[in-house]
Amino acid sequence: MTTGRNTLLFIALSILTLIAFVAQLLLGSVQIPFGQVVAVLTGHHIQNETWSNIILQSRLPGALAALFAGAGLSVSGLQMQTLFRNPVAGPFVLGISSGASFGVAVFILAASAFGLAPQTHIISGWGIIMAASSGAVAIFLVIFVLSFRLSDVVAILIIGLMIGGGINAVIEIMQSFSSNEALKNYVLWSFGSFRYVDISQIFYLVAIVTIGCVFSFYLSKPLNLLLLGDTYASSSGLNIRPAKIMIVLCTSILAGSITAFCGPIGFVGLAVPHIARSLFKTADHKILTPACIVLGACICCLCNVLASSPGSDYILPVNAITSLTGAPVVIWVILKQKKV
Amino acid sequence: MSKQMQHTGLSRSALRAGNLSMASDKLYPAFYRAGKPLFGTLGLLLLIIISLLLPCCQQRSTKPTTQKACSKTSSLPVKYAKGFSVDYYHGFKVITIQDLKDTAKTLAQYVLLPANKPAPVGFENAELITTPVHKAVCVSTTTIGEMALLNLLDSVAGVTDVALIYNPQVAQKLKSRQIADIGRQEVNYEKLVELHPAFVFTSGGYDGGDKLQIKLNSLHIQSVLDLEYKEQNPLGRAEWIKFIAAFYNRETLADSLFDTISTRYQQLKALAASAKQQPAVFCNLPFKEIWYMPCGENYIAQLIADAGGNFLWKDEAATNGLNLNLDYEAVYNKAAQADYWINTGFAASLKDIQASDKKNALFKAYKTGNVYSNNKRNTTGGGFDFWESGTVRPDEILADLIAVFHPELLKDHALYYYQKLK
Amino acid sequence: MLSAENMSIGYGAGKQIFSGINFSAVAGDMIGLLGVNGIGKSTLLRTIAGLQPRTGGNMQLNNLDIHAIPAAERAKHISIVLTERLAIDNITVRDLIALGRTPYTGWLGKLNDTDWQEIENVIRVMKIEKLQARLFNQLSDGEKQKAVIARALCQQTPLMILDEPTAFLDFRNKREILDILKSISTDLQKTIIFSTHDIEACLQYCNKFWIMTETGTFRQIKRTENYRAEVMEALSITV
Repeated sequence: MTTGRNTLLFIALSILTLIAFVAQLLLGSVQIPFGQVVAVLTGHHIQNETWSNIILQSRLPGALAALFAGAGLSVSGLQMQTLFRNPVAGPFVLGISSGASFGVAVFILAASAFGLAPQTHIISGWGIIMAASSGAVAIFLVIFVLSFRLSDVVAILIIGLMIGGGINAVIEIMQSFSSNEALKNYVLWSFGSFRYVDISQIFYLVAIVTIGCVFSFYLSKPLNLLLLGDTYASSSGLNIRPAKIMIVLCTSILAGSITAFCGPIGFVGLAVPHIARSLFKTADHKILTPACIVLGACICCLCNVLASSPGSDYILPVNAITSLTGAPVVIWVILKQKKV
Repeated sequence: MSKQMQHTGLSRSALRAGNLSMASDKLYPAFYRAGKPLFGTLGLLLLIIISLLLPCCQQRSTKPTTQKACSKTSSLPVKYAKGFSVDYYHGFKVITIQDLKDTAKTLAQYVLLPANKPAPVGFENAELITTPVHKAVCVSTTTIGEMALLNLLDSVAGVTDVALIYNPQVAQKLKSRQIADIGRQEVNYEKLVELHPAFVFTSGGYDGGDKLQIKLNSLHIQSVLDLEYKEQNPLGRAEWIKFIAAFYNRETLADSLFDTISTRYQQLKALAASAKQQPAVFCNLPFKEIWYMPCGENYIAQLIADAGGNFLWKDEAATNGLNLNLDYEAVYNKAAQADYWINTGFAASLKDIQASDKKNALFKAYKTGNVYSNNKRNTTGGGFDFWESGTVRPDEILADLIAVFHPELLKDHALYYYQKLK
Repeated sequence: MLSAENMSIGYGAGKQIFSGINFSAVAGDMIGLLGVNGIGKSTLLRTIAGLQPRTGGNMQLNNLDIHAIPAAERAKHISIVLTERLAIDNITVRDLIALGRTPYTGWLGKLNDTDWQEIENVIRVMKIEKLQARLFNQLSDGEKQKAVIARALCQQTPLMILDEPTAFLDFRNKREILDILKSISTDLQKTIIFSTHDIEACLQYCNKFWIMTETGTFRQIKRTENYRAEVMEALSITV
């Protein structure tokens, strides 16, 4: 029985996640002594109010965002890979990310692109979130309606990809007509960011992702059955259509909300399920779901630490870090597997 | 209108006298009333006029074996700007654009001479522009600011990005079709060709200028580099009105205008230097966690220093052009207790600033309400007059900043480009 | 107790492919479904399994109309083994078999002692003790088939339907599978219906024969004397 081994793995990963989480609080472009950080986190008042604000108002929400976004995206990716029987599916395969990007593009670029004004308004934080959410919801509804009419998941996948492609093309057109200022802002949004999620927003992100993850636990059984294919799943007692709709809903909630708050974060949803499968050597979603949650959280926390390039005043885009760490890991995992 | 008059002390009749650019409404009347250019400049300009009347070496020698190169008769005095020079020869003028760091390196050269004269020897690489110069096309609002101060708006054939232009006279001329709208982000080349401009003032590689220049070359339309934005010294940047003036033989006017501007600037600078303490200053609004901050060399940094402010990054050299890519945290760490926050982009109120990022409300400058933005004179389309007429009026910007940082030194000054955000 | 009365099968009202189907089956029956390629054997099996609706007539399993009950309920009565090949990475044989217990597990799919007991039983019956810890996609074809049948067996249904379970298997594996199926039907008193092209094997093992003739009639032949000739005749095979 490998449950003993799996349990140990879980404990090890949880510890690693905790370390990564704390690292985000300790490290950043500003050097703050560890003792001071601990003092602030344990509720003590420290002399340097600036440091206190940095830790509580900037690093802490960012750390939580990374933790929950990592968990949510990984679970979402796992669901998509199972639903579409496709190892390169990720949380954005339904076009949710494109929908969110479209919402934000309209918010930031449209005024400029349609000749109304290069940019005349301040980009409000909540404005971006609302715009992204609207875009994601719109795409989700399209996919949702389609999944009622089509039972073939491949058809839904293709439609999702095509819609995503079409939207990206429209965004490109808007970009070509936009002012430099607006364009720069849109590109900066597309880099993804955990630390921009601030104290007022983090509560919503944490709540939504928690709901999504709990929902996904309920979906372990249907997902396991779907591994066998639609026919076997149906004969085992699964009501196929409602199950798939639930899965699409769960993924959309997770991927959509995370993209709305953090911008598009690539690669995590795609790579983490593979790593989880390889580490835990199982296809059972009862184990893989929590595995993805912990692994995803851990990896995103680590990426966030790297992105803040501690010690220097400059920062790197999170998306680049996740891709750079994700890609080699997936390649390594696949090579290792194929050797057996 | 009345507020404007209060503001500038102009009489109604003076305004109606027409052709007063609003951007220089404070300056023009002063000059026209004062009337006399300075003696030194007059003498020099007489020399220029005389040399233009003399026959010169611009004609190639009739004997093919001997070719005499031309010798310079004089140069336009340029005190602060490093990026251009104007040299006078017998019968023609040479305007040179040079690299700021290495002034021996020529980026472009223009020879201005009448149509019936042949090209001078020794300037084979220069571009020939026939005088008198007719209308030009401006693609940058800074050029418009320069043209407006020199009262040359009638020589503007066309403009781009109409929504960004502040000068109301330009708007009027656009309506009456004296100035053509030739496009927004993308230039409408067909319209441009139809205008038959003398040349197009381009910004050379910045904001897609390169692409524009290549296209202009292929259409055989003359382009002239207007690189004032590269000068980081505020007076150096303003001095480029002399460059523009050289094309239209208005060097005299440019010279006297600039003298007034630079004298006032130096006076204000000295005034600011007398302040006992320099308040800490930081600028710009971040987007997400990236904060573009000017480096120490930057134009804005110099203005702050001259206004008696302590710009917190004044000692930092640039990594990205003339700006630093900073992390929000790093900026907050340094500027959390700073006194003044300036140049906050499009923010119209303190609420806007907080809406962009809740953490912005943690800065002391925010809490004490000492946030000043340079968007007081903005078009509905998002154009900043700060970058249009402000380019040629650094003295006014300096006055604003001194009034902000050291209100006791300039008690009666009403803010022109800046406004305090509420 | 499975019975059908004048049932017709197909894909929707307009596309009926076979009609006039009458049969009856009881516990302990091992039924072979025979017919030429394309006659509709798979369709019939899928219809009986409830995977697609019948286009006409009646069918009852233990007094239930299979097509009118929800999938979760149906899963307790019918289990299937199809020609579809399973391709799942990282799943052990044991875990695959355990999936057969899903109609009986809670919302999370957790297995209790009864479930594990049943899984152990099934492994013993199928004689795959040595395979249980191995990864499914590393087994040979014969071993895979045994695992898949084990999963269906684990579902503990009175009726098991198999579509060409011995296709692609070598002679020895074929015999092994059929032996196991026979013992399941007899010892565990289940009804087993399977389709095949191997008439000899069918004649040897089954006690009932369902034939979809080329003329479009459905014949049920019991294993009484002369059954061999009857079957051959129904299949239009001259000996």
